[in-house]
Amino acid sequence: MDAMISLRDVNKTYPGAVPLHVLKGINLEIRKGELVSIMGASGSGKSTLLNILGILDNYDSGDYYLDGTLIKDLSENRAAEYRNRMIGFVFQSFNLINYKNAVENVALPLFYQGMSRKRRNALAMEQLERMGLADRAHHLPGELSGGQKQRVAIARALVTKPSIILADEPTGALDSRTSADVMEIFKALNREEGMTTVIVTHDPGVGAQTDRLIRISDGVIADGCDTNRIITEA
Amino acid sequence: MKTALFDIENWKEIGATLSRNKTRTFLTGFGIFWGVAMLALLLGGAGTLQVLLSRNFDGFASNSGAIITNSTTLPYKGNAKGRRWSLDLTDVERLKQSVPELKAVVPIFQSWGSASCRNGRYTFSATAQGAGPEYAEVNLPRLYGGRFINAADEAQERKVVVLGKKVANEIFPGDPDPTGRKVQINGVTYSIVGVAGNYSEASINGPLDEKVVLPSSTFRKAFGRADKVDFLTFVARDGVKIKDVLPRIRSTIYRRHAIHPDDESAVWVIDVSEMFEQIGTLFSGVRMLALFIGISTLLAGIIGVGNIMWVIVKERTQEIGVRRAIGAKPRDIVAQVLSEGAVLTIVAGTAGICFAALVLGVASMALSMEQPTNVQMSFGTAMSILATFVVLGTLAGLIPSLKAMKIKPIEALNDK
Repeated sequence: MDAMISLRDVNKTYPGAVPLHVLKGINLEIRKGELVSIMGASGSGKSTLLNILGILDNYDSGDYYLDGTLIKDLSENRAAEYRNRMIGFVFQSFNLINYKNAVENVALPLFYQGMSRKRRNALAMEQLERMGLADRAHHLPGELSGGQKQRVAIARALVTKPSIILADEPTGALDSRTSADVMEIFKALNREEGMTTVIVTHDPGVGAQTDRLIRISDGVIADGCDTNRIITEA
Repeated sequence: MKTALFDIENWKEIGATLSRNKTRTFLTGFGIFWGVAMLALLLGGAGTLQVLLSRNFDGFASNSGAIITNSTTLPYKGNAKGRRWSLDLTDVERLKQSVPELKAVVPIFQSWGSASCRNGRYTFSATAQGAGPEYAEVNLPRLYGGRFINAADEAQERKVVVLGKKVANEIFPGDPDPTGRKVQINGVTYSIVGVAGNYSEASINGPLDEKVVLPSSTFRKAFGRADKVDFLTFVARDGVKIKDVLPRIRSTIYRRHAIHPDDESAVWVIDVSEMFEQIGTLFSGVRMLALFIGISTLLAGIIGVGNIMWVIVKERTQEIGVRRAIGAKPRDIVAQVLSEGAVLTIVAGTAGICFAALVLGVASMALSMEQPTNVQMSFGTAMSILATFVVLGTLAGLIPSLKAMKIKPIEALNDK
């Protein structure tokens, strides 16, 4: 199977009085259609890794290929285009715009593609229906439960039909029952549509539901025995 | 950019952003509203004040002057100081010859309160004035009926008279225009050829409304004046400044009447053009002051816009991060912030212009009760003020928007 994500000797250091070497020679490959989780303690570098994968942050050295495209030294505009068309983000705190209703939030990525309002709202409604939220389409985020907000956020991530979903602690702000529902959505997307999904989580229960769990510790992928520093547990 | 401009979502978003903190938006908008209104009111008011003041000189040739005699203050050529002297018709001819830059030299004959006018049982004691048709070159009479003295009246010493409006009202009550009727002045019957007054408060030796004007040739005979004139008025040709020809006017008169060349007090010269210039200078100053105050108020409003946009950007850092994460380009963020500032400025600025127009309109109505007065600013001025405000208001949002553009998505998402 082709690689969706390929990292080769990726390093990231945050400058400062004492420079912080956060990612140390990361080599990682995630294949198309994989459902992967990344786990690690606070400060291990897992969020930095996810930000680099999502082209939200730059890396200092090495190479990062996303669906065969080298992601390096991109202009702000090109990076925005890649984020818009290739990546769907799901955040722990949902990050919905609180003065826009559900359908407007979901349609927002399409607004930046220059799509007409009618078309983007139609596509947004499709995604909301898929998430079982058609009846909440015109509600503001403040009128939705945590689980509903996260489903709106997932609908927003899916509306551009991205190549990959990157989720940062998507169940971190949810109760166990709602977390399970959200994980079911990710698993269904992966199972039924072959959507490549990377989930950063603290929760071993979430990690256990993914195809592969990658542990990261102190800026390196903790492998134990694997020369590629990749541990496959699931 | 084009898509965003015509996309209702964009406008809804601007409205939502501005309405989220209504008090703050209102206060910022009020700053702009007040700045625009003050600037418009000050400029409109200053212009109107100038019109009102200039109205005092309506009918007067702006490039004119008058010469009135005074006692000498210096001895000269055997004449003691304190000598009284008079202008005469020869002075008129000499001035016409030696100062060709003068378009007209007009002698005025006047007899204060000595014209006893009668129409049946109605009488009025008026000032009689003798003037030729060229008088209109200096001070255009406001005709309520008939005509002014013409060349034929003057040449043929006709017994005709132009009644001042007040005189006509007094002796011909109920007849707004007694032109064609007869009037007795000091027992002599004259035909009324017109009724006149002044266009403005300013006048030469008293308002025309209270005078009776005879042809100067008729006046001289009737009042036994020979060729002595009470004073001279003159109008310079276009492009000629009175102050440039004044020394020659003085020297011509001084030579003829043996007045010491340094005796400035012997002739009192009224330079109307200088008065007009002074008014012009005064109002340039008033306009500058109005502009200064208005621009200061405007700047305060603009700084308010910049400040509010800065606060909005700070408050929305995380939202900007989310937008960047889902595909907004830096220019999308700049356009969004700028358009919010521009909309606030346009709405509040337009309200300010409308308010100023309303106040000026009310002032216009109030002032027009006495005399039609158009208190206003030009449409061009209003649009210039608004355009300046919109451009500056938009630019004020530029610094915050550039800051917003530089926010890294990852930093913004981590902003709490």
